[in-house]
Parts: sequence; C-alpha cells; structure tokens
Amino acid sequence: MPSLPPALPFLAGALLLPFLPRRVRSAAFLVFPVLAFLQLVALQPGTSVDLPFLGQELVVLRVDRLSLAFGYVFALMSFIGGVYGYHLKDAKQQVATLLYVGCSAGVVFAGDLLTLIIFWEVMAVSSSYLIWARGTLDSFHAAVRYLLVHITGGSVLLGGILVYSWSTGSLTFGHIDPSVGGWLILVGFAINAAVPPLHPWLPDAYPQGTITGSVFMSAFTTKTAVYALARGFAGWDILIWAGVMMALYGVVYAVLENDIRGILSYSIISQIGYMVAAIGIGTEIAINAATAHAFAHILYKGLLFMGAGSVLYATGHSKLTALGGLWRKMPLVLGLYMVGAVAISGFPLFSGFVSKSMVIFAAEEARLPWVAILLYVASIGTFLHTGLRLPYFTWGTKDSGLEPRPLPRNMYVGMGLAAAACTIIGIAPGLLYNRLPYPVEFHPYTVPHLVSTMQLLLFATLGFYLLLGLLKSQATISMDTDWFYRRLRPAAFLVGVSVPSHLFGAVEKLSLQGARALISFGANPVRFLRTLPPWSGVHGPVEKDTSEYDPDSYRLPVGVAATALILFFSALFLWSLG
Amino acid sequence: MLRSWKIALITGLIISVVAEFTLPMEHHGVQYWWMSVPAFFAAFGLVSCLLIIVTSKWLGRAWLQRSEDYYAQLRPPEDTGALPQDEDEEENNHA
Repeated sequence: MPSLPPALPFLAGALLLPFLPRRVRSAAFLVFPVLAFLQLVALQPGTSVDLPFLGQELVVLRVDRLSLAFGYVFALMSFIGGVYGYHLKDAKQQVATLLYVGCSAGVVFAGDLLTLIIFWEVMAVSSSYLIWARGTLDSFHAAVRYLLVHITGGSVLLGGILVYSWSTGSLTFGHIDPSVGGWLILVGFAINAAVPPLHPWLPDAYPQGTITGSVFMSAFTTKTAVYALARGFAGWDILIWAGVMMALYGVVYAVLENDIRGILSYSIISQIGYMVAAIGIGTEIAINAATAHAFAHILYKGLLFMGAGSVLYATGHSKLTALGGLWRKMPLVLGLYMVGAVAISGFPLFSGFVSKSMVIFAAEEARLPWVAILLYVASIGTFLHTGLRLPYFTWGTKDSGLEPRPLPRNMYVGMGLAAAACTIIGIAPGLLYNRLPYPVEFHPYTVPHLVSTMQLLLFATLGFYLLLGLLKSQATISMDTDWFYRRLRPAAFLVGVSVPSHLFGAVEKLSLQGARALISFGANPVRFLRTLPPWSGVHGPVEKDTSEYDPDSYRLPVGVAATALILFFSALFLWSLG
Repeated sequence: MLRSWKIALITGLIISVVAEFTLPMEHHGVQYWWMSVPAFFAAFGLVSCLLIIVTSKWLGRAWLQRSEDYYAQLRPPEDTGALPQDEDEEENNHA
C-alpha cells in the first residue's frame, strides 16, 4: 500500500457519502475507519511525504510512534462511534463527522505547522455542526459560541505560527522553544485542550451536541490538542501545574453539575489535566503516560458519553433532577456505563488502571510528590462524580416515573465494543504499551499498587455514602469563565457594537450636514450667511444690506471673465506647443 | 438490596486494609514517606472524598451556582422560542 495520509479515507468518505443511497450510508460510514486502520498498519515510522504548495514544501504525512498511537485510537473510536450512530439517517451529520475525524487524523500526521492549521480550522467548523444539528435554540447558541471561541483560538494559533516561522525560518512542527511565537502557539493549543481559564467552550457545547455528535467530540478535539502539546511542548514546566489545576478544577464543577453530559464534560477537563501534567514533566515515561492515558481516555469517555446519550435518547432527559430509578428499565445501559465508570476511575482490570497510574508514577519518578498527591485527589474526585454520583442519581434512588423508549440495537453494540476495548486494555496492557512512543518499563499489576488503589476507591465510596445527602442534585448551573462572554455580552455589545455604530452614525450625519451647508453656501453665499446666528460674527456689513440677494446678477460678469480666462490660457497652451 | 451493598462495601473496606498487612508490599521506583504509613491510602481516600464534597458544595453555594436561566435572562424578550430564521438584528441597523 502506498504511503498515504490516514486522513485521506475519512476525507474521501466525506466527499463520497452524500452521493451514496440513503440505505447504505451508515454501513459505508464504517468502511472509512477500516480503510484508515489498514493504512495505519501499512505505515512505517519514519515515513514522510512532502507536497509542494504555493512555494512551500508541506509535509502532509510525517509518521512516528507518537502520531501512530493517536492514529490507531482515532480509527478505532470513529468505527465504534459509527456503530453507535448506525441508526442515524442524517447525511449532513455523517459528512460533518467524517470531515471532523479526518481533519483530526490530518493534524496528528501533519509534519509542518501550515498543514496543521488548515486541518485545525476545518475541525472547528465541522465539529460545530455536530452541536448545531441538535436543532434547539440552546444548541444553536452554544454552537455559535463554540465556533467563535475556536475561530479566536485558531487565529491566535495562526498568529503564533507566523511569528514562530518568521523568527526561526522553519515551518517544521517539532519541539518548540519559549519565544513569542511559541507562547502564542501554546495558547492556541491550550484553548483546544480546554486548559482553564480557556476551557468554558467544552462544558458549554458538549451537553448541547447531538447524541452521537458529542460522542465524537468527546474523543477528538481535546486529544488532537494533547497530541500537539506532546509534540511541541514536552517539558514546559508551566504545563505541570496547569495540568494539576485542570485535574482538580474539573472535579469541583463535575460535583456541582446537574446535566449528565455536563458532568462528563468537566470530567474530560479533569482527565486532560493528567495528560497535560505528564507532558509538562516531559520525560520519556511521562510522554508514554500522556499517550497511554489519551488512548484509554478516548475509549472510556466515548463509552460514558454513549451511555449518557442512551439515557437522553430513551427518556428525553439529561438532568439528574429529572432522572432516577432507571436501573430496572435500562439495566444493560447501566452495566455498560459502569464498565466505562470503573475504567475512568482506575479499577484494576480496566484501562484507566494501567494508564492513569503511569502518569502518577511518572510524577513520582520525576521527584514531584505534590503533583502525585494532587493527582491522587483528582482520581478520587473522578470516581466520586463519574463512578458514583452520576450513576447513583440516574439509575438509583427513587423512581422518576420516566418510561424510556427502546434503544436501537446498534447503540448497544457500539457501547459493547467500547466496553470490550476498555477491558482488553486493562487485562492485557501490553497491547497498549507496545504502541507507545518509547519503550515501557512500567508494571501496573503489583501488590502495593493493587492494594493502594482498592483502599483509595473503597474508602472514597464510604465518603460518598456518608455525605450522600449533600450530593443530591440541584437544578442550577455553575458560573464558569464563559461568564465573561455570556453574562457580559450586553456590555460587550454596547462597547463593541452599539457605541461604535452610534459614533459612525453621528459622524456620517455630521458630514452630510457639512456637505449640505457647503452646497447651500456655494449656491447662494449671501443668503447662507444670513441664515447663520448673529453670534457667528459673519453678519457685520451684510446685516445693513436688507435687499434680497439675486445670484443671477453676478452670473454674466463672472461668466464673461471666466470665458475670457479659458480662451487666454488655451491660446497660451497652443502657442507653447508651437 | 441496599443492605447487601452495605455488607459488600464493609467487607471490601476490611479486606483492602487487611491485605496491606498480610501481603508482601514491595514498592518499585522512588520511595516516599507515605508509602510506608500504614493504611495511608485508606485514610487518604476517605478524607479526600469528604474534602472534595464539602469544598465543592461550599464553593457552589457561596459563589458558583446560579439559576438555570441565569444566562437566558439576558436574551432580548422577543427571543424566546423558535430558531432564528433570517432576521436582521435591529439594534445595529442605522441605514
């Protein structure tokens, strides 16, 4: 097989899908991830493909073990998501999804920053459609906000790339050293990685997306950003503390959140925190850990979003205050959700156990005990909100009286595939470890690790049980940093739109009045001066002359004089020619 | 139902602590003081969980939590239902 970018099957699919008959579209959707997977298997690390474009050599394909690891999980997750969304008969959403996934794969295999930003921008636009397509007023507003934030982020990134390539003379996307351009690029990446305070687009948009759309979005946008950070910013100290802060920040909001997909959204921020912290540590084991955690996270977070989406599909509700007692009516969804929940919480035999512990181990090895301790706290928080609070108030407690409608069978199959993947990685971590960027010297299944994990999780359950009364959900939303562009919107509108537009209006009016005055002055200066108020001081001698001024009385003499002048200068001109 | 869950949890709590004192606990990698404190992770798990709940709830009540229509309150009054079709914004139309 020739060395083609793994983005190609997805992008070709996005072009092809609308022309296929409606009946086969969902099945065809599944073909493209498979093709991409086969393409990935054929690619050798070290391969690079250049494409001349506008006098630049664009590296559209650069393969190494880091990009391959992300490529594999992208192909896997898009297949699972395609199965989950098999019942969907909406070509527009399917095309947007393929475009979005394809561009994510494009970013991961882009060897230069120009290729990267092109894919980066298309990702933002195509994913915003997955929110828009929900068709409610709230989702419409959320999609517009999402798009505006990502366009702003893309502009910062583009600015950074221009400054960076101007100062270094190279567009190659490799490790980036601190500089103005480097910092701008970091901010651009950090917006997509949802690093607070640049994160509020995520919990704003993902609960508003379509059921299948949010499953895809939870996997791709933040993880391409994690890849980009790992590629460019490994070892930047600021990321260690940004990551730890993220991990804890997400926990607080997830504990307060009422919407089940909102809880999972804040949980993404918390989990990305582990990856960002590991990237900040920057050692080989830390980059391995960030990659492994991204890989595992895509699968279990996809599963959790599928579970929450199934509840929304079946009941029409996504707020904990409206849900409850569904365990009798949706037991299978509960079981599959709990596989994702124990995986994200890091229970032994599930994927989180073999990836999250690697991040903490990397922090311990790098002599950063506080990072390790705070990440332990965040992992307890994860178990608390995603593993206990969400399922307890959705499937447990008293019956809400909701009558869920049956789910399409493909939704169960999609969740089953994701659950299987989470379990297989947990049981046979070698399958994942062999695909990491560097050789792995880490053994998760040791007695102390198993015992300490079980103590942490079980005693956290005791804490949950003791303070259960406090955790009851309330019908509220929590202020976040989107306050600045949502609550301040009227003020921003006033400063940014109303004031300038009134100002422009006033200037326009003034200049029109000025022009009108000039016309009237030119047509009849004496009458014009007489209309001015006395204090203007122009009346002087004119004031005594009360006779009506007739412009025609001056036309003949002025006209004759002007004609004479024109004739004189014409004669002068002709004479000079001769 | 709830009773059997309680019994399972208590059994698990006991086993996890007892295991620490009966199984060989050989740590790999860098050693920190907390790794040798008996039942450290049990206490840490419980205290962290309680702290997370209390802190989050306190932050929520004192500061973060708002009514669900907190942002919707600011929408113009006519903007209440259907998706916007092709409506021009009146505010900035001075022509």
